[in-house]
Amino acid sequence: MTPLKALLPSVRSLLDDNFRSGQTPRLDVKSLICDIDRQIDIDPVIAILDESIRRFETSPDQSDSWLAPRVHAALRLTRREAADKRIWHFINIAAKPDFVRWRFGGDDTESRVIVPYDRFMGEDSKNAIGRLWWVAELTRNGPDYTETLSVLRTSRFYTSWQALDAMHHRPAALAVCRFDREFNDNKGLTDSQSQRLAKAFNLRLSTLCLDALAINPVVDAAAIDDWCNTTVDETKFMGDDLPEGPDDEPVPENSIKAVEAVLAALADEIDLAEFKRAPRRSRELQEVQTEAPVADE
Amino acid sequence: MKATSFPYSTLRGDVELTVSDARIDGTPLPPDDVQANDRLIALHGQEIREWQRLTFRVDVQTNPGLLRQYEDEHGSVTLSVIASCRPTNVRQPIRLGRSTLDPSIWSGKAELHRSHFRDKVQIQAQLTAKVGGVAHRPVSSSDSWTLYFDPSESFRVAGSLRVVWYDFKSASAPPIARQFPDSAYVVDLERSLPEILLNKSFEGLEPILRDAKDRSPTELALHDIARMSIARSVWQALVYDAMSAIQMEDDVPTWPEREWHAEVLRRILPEIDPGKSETELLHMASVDWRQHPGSGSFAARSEAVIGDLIGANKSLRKSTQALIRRGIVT
Repeated sequence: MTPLKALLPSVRSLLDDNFRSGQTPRLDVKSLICDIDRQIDIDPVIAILDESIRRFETSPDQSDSWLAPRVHAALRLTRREAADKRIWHFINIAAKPDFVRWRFGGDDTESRVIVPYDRFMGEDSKNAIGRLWWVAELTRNGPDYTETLSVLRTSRFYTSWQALDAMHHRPAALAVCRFDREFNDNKGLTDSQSQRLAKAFNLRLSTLCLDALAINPVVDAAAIDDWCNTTVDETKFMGDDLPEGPDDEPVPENSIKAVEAVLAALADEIDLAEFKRAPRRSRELQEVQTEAPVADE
Repeated sequence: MKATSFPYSTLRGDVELTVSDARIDGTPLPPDDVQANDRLIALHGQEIREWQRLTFRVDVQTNPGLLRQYEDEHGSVTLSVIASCRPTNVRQPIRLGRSTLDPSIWSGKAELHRSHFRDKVQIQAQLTAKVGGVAHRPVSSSDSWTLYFDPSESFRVAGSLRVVWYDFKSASAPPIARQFPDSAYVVDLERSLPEILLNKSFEGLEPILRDAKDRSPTELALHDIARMSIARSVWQALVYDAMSAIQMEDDVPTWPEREWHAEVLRRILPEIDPGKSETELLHMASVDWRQHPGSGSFAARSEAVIGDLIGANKSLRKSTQALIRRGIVT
């Protein structure tokens, strides 16, 4: 068993070019490692990450949608535990730096690529392994990871949506996944359409209360607790079948549909289907800005 | 809603949110941990260390006359109370019932599980209505209550910087102290709130720094100078760290997420360039003051601002005057 630990943020000063490029494969960080409150085995998630390297050897950017549900199911954390950034430092830097370099090191086999700091120590949408866990947590519907699988076929969720507070509202996160998938006759949003819609949606929410629009069910603490305390058999996650997440209540369908309707109306309003490339910011949001509140100085 | 103008009719009058009868695992919180005036509750450092469940009563009230008038015009309002926690990405609704006797009052009980939250949680009430044919529009909101699940990241809440003595050569000292065993002090920025670590094994440091009544003028001057020198360099470390934490959202600089970072910058930046707006100061801090030649100008000014802030000039003046009076300095 390899126990999960916390790695102090001062490790950043050790992440030099040699480590980030893989010339120095491992760092001696023993003095910066601390225990966490619960004993959690990371062997299952290490096995999953190794399998992804084998499966997607030459196309690491295709691995996210396969990986995210499996990382989430293999590394069973409460949100309180997952919000401790030091555990992601530990996993990315001390436990699986080879995965981080494989996923973000580019495909240049001749020269070594220096992986950016934020893939080791960045925010929830940036650090290589934490971002997979968090997207799965935000987009699972009870035990069902179908939307996670679908939305991570591209990197749009990370770049356009994950940082929005609205994604903490479970029906909104699921509605975004569905809308992203179904737009353009089921071809999905383009990157620039996604970016544009995310900005417009965020702005619209200053004059629309999501919580009044769609019921956001409370997460079932008992279901999460059971799930965290169940032994993980990661061998069941190695194939193509999706694993199952915590057995909490799915989000009511009418809540998801209510947010989808807002997204659809907004897409019409900003003529999203015709939008091909990102115009200047001032022009981009002109239509929705007329409805935005103004802060009084 | 007080500082924002909406492009539609909103409800006038304050919305008051009150949190009371807070209990962890059924045990009432000590009264000192609930600061109703500042709308905050400190949940860390409880005797029951492994507590799981926080319960409390929530009441929301608004002006009955103004509410009646607004509802006559726009129809019924709806109340949403939300507990939001940014570190855990949780947005949990708290359901309240509306009083049948006085419809300007909503009340209910809330239950938050510790496993869903970290650092701090903000609770806010928002009233919504159908205005101009559009449903669910925010028409009024309350000030937020803040629940600190973990030691606060705010100097405002926690008070002054914590100072802790360690033997820097001991294995039990924090890593930053062990890395510099011969330093008199270090500042530990890795905790939720920075701490000053003083070195017990630094000969003579404890007697110089400890408070004592009967010091000679020379000893007193040494005591003050040592304290000020530590305070100055600690503040510089805080400012440097806070400057690096300024975030960019769509190329627009925003205050750092950690409260103490923002508090330090709000205290220092206006003194560096008085007369500039917050937006201008943030922009300068994120661009101009980070690179040459602006960085030099910033370093020189921040040094002087910090000196004033910690009272270094006043303290030095007092010490030298005492030494001059006694003929020790001429």
